[in-house]
Amino acid sequence: MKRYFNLGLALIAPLLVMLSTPRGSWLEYLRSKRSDGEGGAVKPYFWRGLVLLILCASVFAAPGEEKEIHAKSACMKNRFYAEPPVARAALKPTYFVSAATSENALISIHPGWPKTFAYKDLGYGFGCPGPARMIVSDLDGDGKGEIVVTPEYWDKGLIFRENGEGLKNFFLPDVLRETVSAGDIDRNKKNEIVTMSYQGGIKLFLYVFNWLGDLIFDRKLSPDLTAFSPVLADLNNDRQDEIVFKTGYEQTRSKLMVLDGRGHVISEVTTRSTENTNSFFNTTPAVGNFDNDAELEIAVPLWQYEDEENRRTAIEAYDLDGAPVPGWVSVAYPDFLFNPVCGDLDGDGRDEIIACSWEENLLVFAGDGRLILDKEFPDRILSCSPAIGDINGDGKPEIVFNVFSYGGPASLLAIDPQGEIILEKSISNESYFSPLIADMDGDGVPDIVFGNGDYIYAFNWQGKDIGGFPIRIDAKTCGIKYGPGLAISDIDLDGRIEITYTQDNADAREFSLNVLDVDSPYSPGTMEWPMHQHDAGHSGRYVNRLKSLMNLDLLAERRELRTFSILRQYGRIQFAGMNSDVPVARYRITRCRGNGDYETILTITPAELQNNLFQMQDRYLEKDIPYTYRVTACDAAGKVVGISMGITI
Amino acid sequence: MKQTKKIGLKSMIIGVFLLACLGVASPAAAIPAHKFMATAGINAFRAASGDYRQLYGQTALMPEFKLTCMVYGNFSVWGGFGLISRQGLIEELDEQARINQTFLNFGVGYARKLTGKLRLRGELGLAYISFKEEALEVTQKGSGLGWKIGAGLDYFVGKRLFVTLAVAYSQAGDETEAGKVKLGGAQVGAGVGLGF
Repeated sequence: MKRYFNLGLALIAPLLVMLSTPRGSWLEYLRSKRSDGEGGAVKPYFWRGLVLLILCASVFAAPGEEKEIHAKSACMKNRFYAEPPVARAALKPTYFVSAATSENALISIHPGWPKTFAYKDLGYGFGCPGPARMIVSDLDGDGKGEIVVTPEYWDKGLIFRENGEGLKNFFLPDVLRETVSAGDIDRNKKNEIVTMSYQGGIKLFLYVFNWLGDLIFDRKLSPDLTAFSPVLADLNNDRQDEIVFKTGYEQTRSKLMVLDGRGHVISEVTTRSTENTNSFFNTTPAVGNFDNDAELEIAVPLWQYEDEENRRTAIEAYDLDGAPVPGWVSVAYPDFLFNPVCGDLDGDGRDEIIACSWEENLLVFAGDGRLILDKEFPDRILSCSPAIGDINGDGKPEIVFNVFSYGGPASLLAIDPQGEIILEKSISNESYFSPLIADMDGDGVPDIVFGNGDYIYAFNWQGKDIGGFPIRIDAKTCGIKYGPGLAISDIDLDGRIEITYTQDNADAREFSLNVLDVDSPYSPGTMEWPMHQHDAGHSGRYVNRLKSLMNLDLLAERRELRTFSILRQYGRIQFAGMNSDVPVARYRITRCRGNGDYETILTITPAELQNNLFQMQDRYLEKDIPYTYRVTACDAAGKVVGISMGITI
Repeated sequence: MKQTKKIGLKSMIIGVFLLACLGVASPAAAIPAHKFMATAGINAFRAASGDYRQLYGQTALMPEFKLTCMVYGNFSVWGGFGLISRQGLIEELDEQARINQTFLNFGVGYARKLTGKLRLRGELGLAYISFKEEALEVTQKGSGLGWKIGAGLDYFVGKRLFVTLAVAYSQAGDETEAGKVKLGGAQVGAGVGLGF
């Protein structure tokens, strides 16, 4: 409106000047000049008006909104680049644009980031773009996250504090892509870095570093042709992670090893199946509890390729001591299976193994090795590992993964354990990393987060975008084709969410490491799958974190009330407060109408509970529309400390 | 749900009793032939709908006005107008409910003298019953056309003045979101009339 108002002023004002000649009209002036040459008196007014018209028109034509954008850009540059990067070859601004809005108050660049680095020059004009992901883990035990970066082909890895400060480097002969894990292997409440590298390009070694970048130990490995990302997980509940890794050699049986935190061998297994091909980070082991005992077992995928028509993946499962898990002696599927993940989908205490096949199928194996779901997605390719999490708050986990077809559309799919599609959401492109599942809007229900070279998406299980998302990142992915490798964490311990991702600028031959602040509470209990393969140790195992929270007993029922001529329904909600040492600042009752968003209908303090019980009526409900209720308990900082199951009435 | 007001039966009974006493005490006279009769009375109305009775009470007071015109011999045409306004409490939600009803009736009747002062009337006609109910944050309006049948006993206490006792039953229905609703009911009442 303002624009049109300006336009009107710009045109009318000079015209009025032009028209306000002594003879009343410049047209009269022209006429008179043409007829008898008179009109000298009006001439100055006419030309004055004409000049004014041109001036006003030029002012109006100046792009006012563009000016505004430039001003914002300058502001963003100042804000985002206040600190110089640790290392930098060519300083160019990295543009951060939200597709949703350029005035996004919810999402901002985390102070101290991004870091931009030049490509590693491999010679002959080739360059290597760096890391696919940033590994986020609390290395120094202060509660805040550190960021580990291993750019491929470099001779060192980098450790950053959350504020972008370079902490330490750790030195490797030759950095391999995606072979870094972090976890507490020696129970010192600090996380160590475990990776692999080739010495002299031929001898494969396992390296373990502490948070200061000091080498704790290394170990020569054999077979040594192929290496996979090590997995760090506490298999025997001794509160320290074991190191699990697989190495192989062409056409031989691979070796699975489990080491303790001092490098001692716990078990060493030669697989029963041979493996003749691999994908560095797509055939790593995963851990799970397949027999409902106290310890976790290891699932090992092994690829075998004969020709285009004959390829298979064997899955073998072993105990910590190397004994085969019953039922997993000869489990195989006639296709390549990507990183399997594990989780108890049916609540029987035994984990299932979930994997995507190279072509068209999503598979679920029961804990005893039976294939219990073989869901086909015709003409789709499922080249990633899935994520597991309870996206709809029904207390049962769903499976989320991305599918695509060559030259065709890409989508994110969520299915329930029976294979029923719950959600299909179009995305611009696929990614080889798993989607993430985390509560991004603080409603207590985990959302789906996904990144590709174009956007970072975040949406709920109905497919509705979370405020501020998608974020356009224009990663220009070339070398980091697996990126942007999102991870969700609270690295600065401010109780709010941070997102890390990598960004490749192939045109400038540089890559960037980015951290975004999302103005939404970070509740560990609702971060169900916060990074690729679930955690920094790449266990690939889903454990419902809500179980670690206080479980609130919620009762909800739909009641009908009739007067003489009016029939209405209302919800009767009742829950019991928490009896625990966890301090609760408030309870929040949320409601989801049909497939809509969860909205808070009431927030109360514990003092408002009577005999630790709370009852309310939700007036009124629409007939034939399902309503889902859940109650969350939050501490003073807004973190979720207790949650109920979602109850639909 | 329960009714908020106790039924005004006591006052109604007293009123009827007073009218009866007035009639008995008055000197008897032969029933004169009047062309028109206007009657005003008060009725105890018992709704046919159980939901109505549960919320607004078993009976409700209904003032009613009626005009009768003798058209041929003992045959007459008549029209009546009645009102009901009730409040109820929805205990479950501790919310008030309110209903207003309007009764419009007209029909034909037959009157027969029983004695010099007593006359019996029978009536049959159409009933148009409308209502407006406000409850549960909703206002529901409706109406229905049905029938009404009634009988009355008039006792002339003067040449023009008479007291009357009447019973009637009306039935009409409407369809709302809550389903079919019964709009009519039984009524019994007393009143005074004037012939002219």
